[in-house]
Amino acid sequence: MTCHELRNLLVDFIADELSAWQYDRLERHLRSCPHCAKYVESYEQIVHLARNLPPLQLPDDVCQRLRLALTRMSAQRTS
Amino acid sequence: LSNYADAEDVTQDVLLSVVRKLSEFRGKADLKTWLHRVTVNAALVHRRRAARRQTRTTSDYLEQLRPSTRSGRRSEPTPHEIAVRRETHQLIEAAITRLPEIYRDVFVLSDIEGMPNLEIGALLNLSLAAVKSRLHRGRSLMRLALAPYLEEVPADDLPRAKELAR
Repeated sequence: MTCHELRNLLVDFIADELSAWQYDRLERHLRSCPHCAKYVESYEQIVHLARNLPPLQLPDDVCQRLRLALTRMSAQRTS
Repeated sequence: LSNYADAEDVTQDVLLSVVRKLSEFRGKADLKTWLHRVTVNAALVHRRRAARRQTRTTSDYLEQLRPSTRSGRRSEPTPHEIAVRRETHQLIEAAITRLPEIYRDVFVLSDIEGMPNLEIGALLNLSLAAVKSRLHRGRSLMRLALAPYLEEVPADDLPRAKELAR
């Protein structure tokens, strides 16, 4: 496996969607290529950090105002 | 979102985004999901603006992320660690808002919202291959943007790459 091939598999690797065969090849490449090992480590860190961001919850009053505004917009579009 | 003025700003931002992007809504995705996506993007942009208003600079964040200024492993995070984590979140959110929109949408939906790639494809009218390609590009751009900070960011889980390379 080349470094380029490995990078093309990363989305499936993160999603746990690699076949056993692909996983083995990726693992072997990572053992022999410190550059890719470092790359994948930081790639995983980005995903981990993004997945652990606090939820973006809008306060109730914002939701209420949005609902009102959208209802008004929708009424204007249909009239 | 800390106060009434902030909430008012976000409401306006979301409404503007909805009006601007309404033509992109293709009816394939659930309207609620689509609105949520537009809202999350607007809230991210808003948080970034709020963070910009603060007087701290990027080098201040970097300084706080250095190991020498972090205390050792403890079961309960210290107020300082909580502050560092908050600032780390701000750094990540700032990097997300700087992503080109075509990559940001997929990155936000996948890695923040946890939406499966197939659903993202249906929502944005993209093939699965296009979703994966944009997601990879988005993550790679995030990696580049945050490269100076990555090694210092406290991670709770050991990345699998480290285990696999052993």
